[in-house]
Amino acid sequence: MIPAGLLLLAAQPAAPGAPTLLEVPAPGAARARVDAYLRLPFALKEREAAAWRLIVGFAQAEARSFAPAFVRGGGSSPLLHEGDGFLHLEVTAPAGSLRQMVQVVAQSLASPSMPAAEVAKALRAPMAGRQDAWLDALSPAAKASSRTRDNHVSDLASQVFQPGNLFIVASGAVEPGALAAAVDQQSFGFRRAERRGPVRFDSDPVTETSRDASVDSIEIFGPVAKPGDPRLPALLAAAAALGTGKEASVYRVLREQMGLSYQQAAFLWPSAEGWRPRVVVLRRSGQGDSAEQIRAALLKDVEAWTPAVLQRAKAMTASAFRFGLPDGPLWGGLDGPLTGLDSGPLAGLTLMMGGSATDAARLEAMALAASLEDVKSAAKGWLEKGSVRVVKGRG
Amino acid sequence: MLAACLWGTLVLQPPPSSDRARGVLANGVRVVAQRVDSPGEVRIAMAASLLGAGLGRENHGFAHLLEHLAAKGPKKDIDARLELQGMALSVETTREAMVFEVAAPPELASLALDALLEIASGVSAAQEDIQKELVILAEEEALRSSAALLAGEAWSAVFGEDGLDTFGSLEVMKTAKPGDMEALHRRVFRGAGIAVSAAGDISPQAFLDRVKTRFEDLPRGAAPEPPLRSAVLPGTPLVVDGAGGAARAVLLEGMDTSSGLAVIGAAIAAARFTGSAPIFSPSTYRSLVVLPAPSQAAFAPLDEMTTGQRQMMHAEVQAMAANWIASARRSPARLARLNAELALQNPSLTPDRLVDLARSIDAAQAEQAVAAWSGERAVRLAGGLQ
Repeated sequence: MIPAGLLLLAAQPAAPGAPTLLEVPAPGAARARVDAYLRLPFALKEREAAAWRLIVGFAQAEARSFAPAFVRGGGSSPLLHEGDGFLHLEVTAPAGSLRQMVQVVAQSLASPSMPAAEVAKALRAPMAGRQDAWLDALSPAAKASSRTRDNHVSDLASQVFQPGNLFIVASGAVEPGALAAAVDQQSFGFRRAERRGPVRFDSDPVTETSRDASVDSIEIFGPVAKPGDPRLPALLAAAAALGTGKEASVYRVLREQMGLSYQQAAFLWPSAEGWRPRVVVLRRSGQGDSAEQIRAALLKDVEAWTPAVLQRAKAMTASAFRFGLPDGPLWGGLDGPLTGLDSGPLAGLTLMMGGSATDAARLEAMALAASLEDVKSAAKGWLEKGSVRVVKGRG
Repeated sequence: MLAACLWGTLVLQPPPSSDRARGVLANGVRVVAQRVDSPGEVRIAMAASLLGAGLGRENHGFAHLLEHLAAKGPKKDIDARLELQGMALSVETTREAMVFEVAAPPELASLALDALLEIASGVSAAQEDIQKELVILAEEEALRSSAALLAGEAWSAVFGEDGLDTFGSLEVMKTAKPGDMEALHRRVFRGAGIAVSAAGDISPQAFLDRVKTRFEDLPRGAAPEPPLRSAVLPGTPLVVDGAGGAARAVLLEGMDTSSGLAVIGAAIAAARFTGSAPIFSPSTYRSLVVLPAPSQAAFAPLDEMTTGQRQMMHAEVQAMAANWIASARRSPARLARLNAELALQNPSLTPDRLVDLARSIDAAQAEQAVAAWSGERAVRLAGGLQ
């Protein structure tokens, strides 16, 4: 892991229509890590969303196919996660493996293998769920559409797999300039983007409602905060006060005082547009609508926050950044909370959201300086004005 | 560099500048400390063995209920005290042990140890505490993933009464009384059944000294009893109500042999076909490795492999098994837990030794391990929600 203080902050949008590159070298590191983000260029409509689920599956299979070679070479299996409006590929390997790592990026996030027969087969097959209610709640899936055809899949792939949508960060054992050189030498296989067809007039995708588990997910989410948004530091501290640790509001109030749920969380979640504040609560199905009960209980608790509550939240924020906590306030997506040591993903996400890499490095310090008044105000704004999303379990 | 010492009334082989140290207190508490490159971080784990703690069908789930109660500490203030300093406590119960772990800055390691000692020293288990946890456990039960349900069924089918799941029965848990919890706490948290470990930015010898001064007064109690787990492999697919997806399970005679690690390596390698990581708690005892999948069709590449193709997976199986252990050595949290669990089960076994064993997996072992995941040989499970 690489200290964020060593960020080489000059992101390189090498040329128009080229991927954006960033190097974060850490002298003395034995391993290198590449984080690549592919941003969806537009909000998907119904048939596109179903096509995207298939494309993600092909990209994940492509990334997994590199696992044997990387593990044999002393690296880790490449991981490809679907995010809110983006894909994230993570690959780690010993120093000197940058070209191979860039090859995984190219084949997974630029030109994954999608044979026509396999696409047709996948369109006919029922969509497999994740079989995990918590993952479903964190990243709700769009419902499959029977109207999706193979040309929707290939058109969308051509629109998404474009160099301007790709952000690549190399961190750790990386020589300055090595990423650009590796990218130059790699053929990415980008295709000409097809024009977006009538699918763009579809309705918005519907969230999948059928799950394996008999639990509802209840969510209160606020508007996204862009990197550099002055509200962001207070929001981050608010997320820690609400969600990091067992003395945090969601655990202490919703679980311990009310016995309302076993699993609950509050955090800032990355989307292609910025950081989205989210409270997510899982509750057994069939117990009625509890979103407003949750909102009221948390708002009452926020109103009573004291300097000691803020002190705890800041101590937990510092630890989350210093060495990582399982319920830290800033998440990188389905791969879990980020730490200050995760300089690659932090910088990559921030760049993808339209910020600069310096925003990531400054965020922790600014959160630790937030006042109680600002933190309470941020939490109240999140909870009072937040939208509610309820995804019912199978009852 | 590795070093070891034994503690009793006499300290043998003091390792003044080692990256790893281990010892045993006079009351049986085992201690392992390992320095790894993680500036500003230490993870401290305490594993309390459940083997020989008198758990069975009649109190199925009492250990899980005890975990919920014990983690709060006898004064129910452990989290508040730890978190005010930026430390975090987590706990996990496997079939072998209850494992508590504190994430802490190195300068607060003593406070983390104090918290773990409190947990080991007593539990607050009033009837109202139990009632409150039962409500939360009902919520937890609803959340169990399909993979967990399938794995639980596999254990039950193969090992019968010796394979009861770790979640437990809510109906049985409802019968728990404060005295039951206090008695179970005494049986679980005894010197002979506890291992304490640290991994991270610490001095191993100083950590051993700190554990000794804190844990040496814990009553010794009974030594853990290795589980017998006689196995019967079902020949027909098992259908699990309430679960989706599918899974396969393979019997493992412990992870402390090359052939055992080959089964784990083959499971991790096969995960690229299924898209899901295998389920396995580190154990040197007879156990199951379970590999979930969206459907049995996902296992087709394994079923279609020829002997020659399986033999070609030798290097991959070796690398996957070795990397599974080696990656734990790079993570203080995983390393602290692994060292604590190994210290309970086989104190002479180290992560380095496991990596060596993985690297010595031979071609025949790898081929057999991959073949074990085929539909003909593995236990097959299907969710009833298909």
